[in-house]
Amino acid sequence: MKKFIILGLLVSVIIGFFLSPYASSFPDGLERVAIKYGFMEREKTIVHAPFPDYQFKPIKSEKLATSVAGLFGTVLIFFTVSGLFKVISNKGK
Amino acid sequence: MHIPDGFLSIPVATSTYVISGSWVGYSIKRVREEAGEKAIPTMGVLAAFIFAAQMINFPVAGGTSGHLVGGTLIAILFGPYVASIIISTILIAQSLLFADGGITALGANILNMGIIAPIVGFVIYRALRKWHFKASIFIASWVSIVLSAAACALELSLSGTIPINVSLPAMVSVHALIGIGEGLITLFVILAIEKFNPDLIVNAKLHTNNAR
Repeated sequence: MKKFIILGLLVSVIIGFFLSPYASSFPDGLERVAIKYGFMEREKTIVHAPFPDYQFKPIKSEKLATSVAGLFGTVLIFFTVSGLFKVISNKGK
Repeated sequence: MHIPDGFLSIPVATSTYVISGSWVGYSIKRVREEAGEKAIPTMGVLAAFIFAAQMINFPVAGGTSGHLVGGTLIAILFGPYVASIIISTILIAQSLLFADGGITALGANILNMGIIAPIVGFVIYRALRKWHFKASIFIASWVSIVLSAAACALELSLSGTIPINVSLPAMVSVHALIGIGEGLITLFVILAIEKFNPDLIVNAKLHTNNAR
């Protein structure tokens, strides 16, 4: 089981760090509809996120900035979700 | 399918927040009662994988891209309540940290991708898995995307952003394509897990498990 966890994390990190800069930059389905039917400009920013558009801004290279953001998010989610379920299941005792 | 701020009206944003908040709260209650602690690291890894995979947009026809949602994937393995909790956590992180999905649209995004998608996927998978395991995974994943896209169209139209007779066919048609990607990726991941950790899949295939 432990090998599976490590393998899974490794795969996730490889995807988040190495593959993320090469993802398609075409607009997604919703954005495509918003552009076509003219409501894309309604988009606004209410909360200023630290790494908008998955760019780890201190890094100049756009590809590396994406990689670092991807790695950060992947690892963060692993610990956050694991921790969250630990808390949830502890409270059930 | 992450709705940004500005597309939804205040009533739609508020009511979807209420629905999503209630369901996620209920999901936490259900998971608390049925918790299996051994599976926690696996859930963490699955969540990490889905976050990473959601970054990998793949092109579909006409200069458009799609990405995995992963609600059905989690629901097949751990049931819809765990799926709702994981997808919600990912969506919250994406909105707050990466501006992917608006903060006022979080209720709607959770409803579409974190509630409707996993429940639809779970129900269809369960209904079809004895008939054909692999087909059930693909079909469940595909329908989960199409229906959550329909829900998104409905939210946009109720907000007055776009009429329903335009939004529904537009969203459903493009997500019918994206859903193929969801189906293939979900199937691939389930089969890969079956090779490396068959216990997980045995549970998914046989259990009338905790998510009842």
